[in-house]
Amino acid sequence: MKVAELKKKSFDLLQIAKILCLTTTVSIIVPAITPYASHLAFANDERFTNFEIRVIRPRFFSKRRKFELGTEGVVITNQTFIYTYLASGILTYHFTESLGLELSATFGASIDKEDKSILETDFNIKTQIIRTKTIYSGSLLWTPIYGKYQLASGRLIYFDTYLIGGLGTTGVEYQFDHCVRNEDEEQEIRSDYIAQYPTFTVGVGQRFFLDRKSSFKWNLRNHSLQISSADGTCVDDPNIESIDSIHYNLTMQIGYSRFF
Amino acid sequence: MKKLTVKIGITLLLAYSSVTWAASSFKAAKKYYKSHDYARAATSFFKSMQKSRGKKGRSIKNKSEWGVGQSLEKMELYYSASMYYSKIVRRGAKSSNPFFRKALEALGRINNRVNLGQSHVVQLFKTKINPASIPGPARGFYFYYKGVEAFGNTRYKSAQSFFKRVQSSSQYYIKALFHLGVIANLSGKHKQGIKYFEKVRELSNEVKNGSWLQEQSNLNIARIHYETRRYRDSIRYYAEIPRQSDNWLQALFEASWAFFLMEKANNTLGNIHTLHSPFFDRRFFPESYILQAITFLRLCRYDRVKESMTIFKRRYAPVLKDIKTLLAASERKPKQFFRNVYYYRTGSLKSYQNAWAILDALSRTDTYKQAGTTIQNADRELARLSDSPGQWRVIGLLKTLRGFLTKKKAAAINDTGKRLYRQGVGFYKYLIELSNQTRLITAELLLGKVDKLRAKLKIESAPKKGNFIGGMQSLRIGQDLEYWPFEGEYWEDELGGYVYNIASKCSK
Repeated sequence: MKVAELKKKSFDLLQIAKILCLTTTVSIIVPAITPYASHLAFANDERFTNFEIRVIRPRFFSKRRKFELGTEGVVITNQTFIYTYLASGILTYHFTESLGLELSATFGASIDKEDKSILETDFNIKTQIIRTKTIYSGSLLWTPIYGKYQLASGRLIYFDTYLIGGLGTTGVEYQFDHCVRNEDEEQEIRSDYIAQYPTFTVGVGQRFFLDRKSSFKWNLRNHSLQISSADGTCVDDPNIESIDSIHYNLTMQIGYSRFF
Repeated sequence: MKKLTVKIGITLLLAYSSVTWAASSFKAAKKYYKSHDYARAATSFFKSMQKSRGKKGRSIKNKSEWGVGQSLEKMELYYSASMYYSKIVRRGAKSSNPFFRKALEALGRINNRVNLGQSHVVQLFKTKINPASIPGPARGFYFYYKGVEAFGNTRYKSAQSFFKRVQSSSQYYIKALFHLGVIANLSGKHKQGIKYFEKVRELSNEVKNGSWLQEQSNLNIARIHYETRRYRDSIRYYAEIPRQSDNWLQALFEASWAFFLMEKANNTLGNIHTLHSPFFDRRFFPESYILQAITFLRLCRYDRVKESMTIFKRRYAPVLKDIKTLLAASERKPKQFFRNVYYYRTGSLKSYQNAWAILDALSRTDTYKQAGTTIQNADRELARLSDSPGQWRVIGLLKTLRGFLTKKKAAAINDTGKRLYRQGVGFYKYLIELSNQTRLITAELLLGKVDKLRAKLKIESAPKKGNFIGGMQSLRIGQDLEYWPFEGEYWEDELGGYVYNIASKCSK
């Protein structure tokens, strides 16, 4: 079991690292080559002092001292036996063009994958699953890159790319339907419950400005939460040795937001 | 004696029968008009007009002529209707011409709708008319065009008094205010001029062609501020010209001079960078190379001065050659010259390729655009006439209207061709003058007389007050800006927003 867990953990880390790396690369390089033309600018060298000719103009989309209220659909992408779909409400205050504080609340439910049913019916293997029900977090947003696309039609689409880092809690639901009570055991099997775990979140995302007040956005986040193995045991026995481990939820989020 | 009696008898009988016939046609026409059958009404009015003879018939003739005009107007054949109204107005205000006032009002209405053309209306008012006989609604129309005529003949005082008599309720009021602004400026009364233009700006939203008037007012205010060395204000008004306007590049270019005089070299060069972009390779701004060269000269960047001069020569030497040939070939052939501009505009001109920049400039003038509107309107009516009732052909109405419209088109082409040719000659002379200037700059640079050349450039400049970003906009405190580097690729949305980022190389 431990070995399996370790393997799973290393697989998760590798997968997360790969996906984050890929996403960052995609979010920077892809705009530069598709769909027709694109232009990128970086916040830390916004004056482009080395360029002989620059365009200087009022910002198309100013976020400074504005609130951003949005909603996102969230999918946890790294789960083997279940699908987890959540909905998120996000409120962000942008202190500057590049710095913002985001508060988000995410709720959802999970559905078992077919694999889980096959394991149970064909092989009588009952799996214990970590089901994410809620995620509450407060994060800092840093927007170092802004850019624009020009579509073949000539239409311009402005976008920015941001990084996210924050803290929060994740509510994990434990279900004990896989537990079988032996007749000689005195303790009852536990009832389903939700345990809250402190969570550290990192991510990367992009906003595509539909007009001067709204944007379509997507982001990819990794939520690291430290879970205790004792929380998922079938019986509530204080003598059971508890092992803490890090669990990763890799979420893909797509949504819409309005600024005001 | 017997023969004479017979002759008189026949004449009287014919006169009587024609008057009777005319009267019955007129009666029928009125009936058709009342039942909104304007095509038949026009036919009957026209018949009645032609058949009316003698003193008795004069009244019916007048009424029928007015009826033809009205029927055609109701059929939205405005130019055709204007022919009959104009005939009535040209006869002047007298008791034998009872429809004078109504016809004048109708012409004012039509002109406001389809623009009859300045020369048509000015010609109309060559007839001596007592202003007291002009009806209220037509007074604005009359005084405005009398003003335009006087203005065209540089009789500014007389023009001013005509324009001032256009009432504020008239559709011509704003245009009159605009002309008053121009006259005030020409008379050196700059503040008054600005006041007039500001008023036009304020009222322009309420009228047809308001955007054109607003744009022209902005340009004029900008130019007044430029003349009076208030460059910052001047740039503010140039910046009001919208990007989609034909005048946008002109505003950008004129603002470059204002920046130059404010010693804002980076803004000057930034604006010129837009003018030289491939998007505008057919636009005619040769002076921008001279301005670019002298701006680089001010920054002691001599290689760049030479580069600007070289590009000017490479770009405009062939233009000079082709425009010279084109002007020579079209001398005293205004129709042909107009056609060249028209063919260029419609993309079917294959010759004089190097002169296309000048043809492009000509095709963007108001002169050309107005002629275009006249031709378009005339063509539209000619096309509609081909579906007119067969009776119109039989009685000769179709021939009359076709003849009028064809002549109107030809007159517009001829008149515009002449005016465009004169402007073309102006462009040619301007280009020669600029070529001479570039030769002078290049020669003095080659001779190493840089100091002398720079001394010549010690134009009295204005205070350098204020910082500007791209798009001729002054920088506001706390404003959020976006920066885009120019890496050799022109973006359409970035045009007009460029600012150079170079320092002077002159030793202090």
